[in-house]
Amino acid sequence: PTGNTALVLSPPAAAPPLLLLGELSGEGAALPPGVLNILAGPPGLCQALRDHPEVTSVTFLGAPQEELQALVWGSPCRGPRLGSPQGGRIVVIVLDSADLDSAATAIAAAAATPLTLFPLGGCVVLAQDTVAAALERRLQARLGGLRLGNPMDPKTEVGPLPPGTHSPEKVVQEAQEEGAQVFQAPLPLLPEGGLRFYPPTLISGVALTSRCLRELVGAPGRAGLAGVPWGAFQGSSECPLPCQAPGPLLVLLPVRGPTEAVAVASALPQTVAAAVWAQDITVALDTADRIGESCGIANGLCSPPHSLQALREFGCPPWEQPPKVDEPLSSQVTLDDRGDPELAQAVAAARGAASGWGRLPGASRAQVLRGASAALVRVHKTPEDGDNGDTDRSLQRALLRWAAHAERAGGAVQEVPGGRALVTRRPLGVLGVACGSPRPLALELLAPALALGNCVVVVAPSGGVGAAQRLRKALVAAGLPGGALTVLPGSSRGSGSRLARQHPDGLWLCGGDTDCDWDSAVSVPRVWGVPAGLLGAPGQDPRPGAERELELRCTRSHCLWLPGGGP
Amino acid sequence: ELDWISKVYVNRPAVVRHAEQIKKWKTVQGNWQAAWLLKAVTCIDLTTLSGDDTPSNVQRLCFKAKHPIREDLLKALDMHDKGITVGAVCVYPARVSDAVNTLKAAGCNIPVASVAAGFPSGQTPLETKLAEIRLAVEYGAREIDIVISRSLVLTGQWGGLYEEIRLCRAACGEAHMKTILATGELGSLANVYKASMIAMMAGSDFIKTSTGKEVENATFPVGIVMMRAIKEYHWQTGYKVGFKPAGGIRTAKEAITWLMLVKEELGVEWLTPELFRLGASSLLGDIEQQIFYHVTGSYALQHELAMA
Repeated sequence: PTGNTALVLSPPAAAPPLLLLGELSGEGAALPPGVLNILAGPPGLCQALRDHPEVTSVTFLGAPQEELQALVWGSPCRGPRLGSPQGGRIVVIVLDSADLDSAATAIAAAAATPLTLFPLGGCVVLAQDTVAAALERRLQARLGGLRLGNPMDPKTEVGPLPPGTHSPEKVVQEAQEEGAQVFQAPLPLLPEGGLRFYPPTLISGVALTSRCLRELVGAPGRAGLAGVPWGAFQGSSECPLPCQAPGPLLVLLPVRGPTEAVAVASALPQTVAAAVWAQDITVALDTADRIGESCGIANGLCSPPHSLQALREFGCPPWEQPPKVDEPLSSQVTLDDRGDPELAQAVAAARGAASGWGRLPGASRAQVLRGASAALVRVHKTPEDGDNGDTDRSLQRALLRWAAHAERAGGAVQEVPGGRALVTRRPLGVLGVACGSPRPLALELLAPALALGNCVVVVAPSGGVGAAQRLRKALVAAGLPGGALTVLPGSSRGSGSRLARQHPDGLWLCGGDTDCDWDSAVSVPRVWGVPAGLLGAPGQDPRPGAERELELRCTRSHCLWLPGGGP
Repeated sequence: ELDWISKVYVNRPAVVRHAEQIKKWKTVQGNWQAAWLLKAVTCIDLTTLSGDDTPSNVQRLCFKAKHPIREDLLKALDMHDKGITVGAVCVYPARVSDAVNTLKAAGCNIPVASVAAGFPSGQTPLETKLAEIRLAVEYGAREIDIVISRSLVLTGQWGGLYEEIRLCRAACGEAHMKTILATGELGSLANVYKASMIAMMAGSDFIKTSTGKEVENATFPVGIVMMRAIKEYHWQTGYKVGFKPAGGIRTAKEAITWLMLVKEELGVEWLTPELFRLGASSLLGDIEQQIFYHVTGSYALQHELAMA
């Protein structure tokens, strides 16, 4: 929909429906030729796709992302941009002041018909103790009333399992053996035709370690057609990977209160959105705010089109534009297995400082940056630094510019009939920056990271450390909390991996020879290879898109959907 | 059990959204539609509540109640021997004896329902309300539709409301009691839920949405909330209380949507005249039109269908 062309790679077994789609889009839907291309072939084609210079972004569909990506991709940050995994679960928190009937209706409806933009990995319902039993009763009534049948029939609410996916039998059986209660609506008389159906199921009384919570349980990912040109590889059913179990499966967990609900929700992996049901507005907004996922919804579950519209407007993932990466792909980086106490300490200190620094109002952070800019002039330069006045001045300008930015930073409100979406950008937390030689450390990069509330740990080769330390002194003198910026010496080779292994919230790799091996990078939610020309020549203002790019890379979006008003 | 209603929360936008969804449900077609329409007919409380009611128009109403659909149409559907009549005839207390006599003379067993307790506003003293109920029962009404005092709801006097309804229930004696909540005047959906609960706890056999004389009568959000209250009461106590939407239901399509909603929220057991009624007057005319169309393929002219 946003005007990009697509190339779809699929294994031959799954090709026919895609080829039909290609055919149909040519005739009836009137897509111009070349916009949608389907290729059926072996996994090796992925390599070719990656190496092709024109491909800008890649998304994987239909199978857990990590294993496939590791098989196919060498480096997490070079080559075309990887689309974020499209599957994910929705967490619904129902508190004691909720309208239980409306919540149960919405949950059952969402579980039955997967939302196209949040392809469901299943739905986990966290209900407060006082209302858990009443909610369970209502959910059972609703699930029992869902109509299964032929997907072509407009009255059907639940369709058959998609071909090539595994039935959730095993997962449910395992849950039962662990002692959970499983409620399944009885299957009605079903149409013939080789369609497999699975009844709507509600599992309650499971432990947090149960398989149905660890794995994604729900419909497999749908194609995310919006965004940059992508190629997609669809997992085949022969893949020996833990498969997602599709079908309307709900897991119900009791919690004691809103605080516990937030804690449990944060501990569930791969959550894509969270909904909070509570009529007490203070509790509802507070809980929705504290949930870390990118999309919080208060008292509703059918909002995604609007909220994602809002996200798209304000440039949040997965529609970010990637930078043009002009460095060549480097070979696999060897792992360095020494323990890293210094780095671990630095990251721990940064994490400690992150909540305080991140929560300060933008104006306070701006003040610190301005103070640092003034202080930079006064800090003595030593001959080893090898800096010249130009770099200093551009650094000062950058600090001032980003101070102004920090003051202005805020969010946006998108109003549509039916409610409004509040979109804000929050700091990532702890940002690791690995710098390489021979390029001097681009200190201007640190300005946006700090201004927008992150705490940064920098690993730089010895030549660049001096300048960074001066900057740090100036910032600390102006009031930066300890631990918010740490600079450590280290060789550029392997520094990316070292940082990644400490699990920061984001990782930037600057410099041609910095790289990160896949295993470490998988644990970091955001890895970015900073392109060389991003900030322009020293002494000049950066490119127009660069500021926006930096802003997007330092923060993650948070969207809160508030329903209200007429539909 | 006042604590049942102290923690009632109703999310208005969610309920309204659900109601909008319901309006978009595709309605049934063909033979199924005719069947549902006939079911709707058996659930209608044929009503006339005007200042200018006299024995003659009440009589006409009773005849229509006995034969709601033209004989030949029923024969075409092969339903002429199933005893299709409306659920009840609903009139003012002063006209109850006329209705009872007419129906007796016609040899028909349809109950006569009377409105009482200061219909439609309910702003009369409790003694006169109870007296009115007793007199209506004496005149032969087998069902009484009472009206609650909205002021008690709006001022939060739940105990007082319970007492009032309980006394009315006692005054009804053997007669079957429907409690009209007048939801258009209750202010919020949470109040509707709470009033429904109190009415059921105090012994109502049915809860009814409105008098038909308010600005806003039976709408889907209100119906959904009341049905959820009925379901909850059934879960808690095992008693099944009936539901009657009244006022503003004029088309056959709306009637079918109400039936579908009842099936969805309450279940199939509620789809019987003992647990579901439609309070309507012109609705019957529209249903008859739709059945005429189903049987003959064209719509009837005004003189071809008997007036109610």
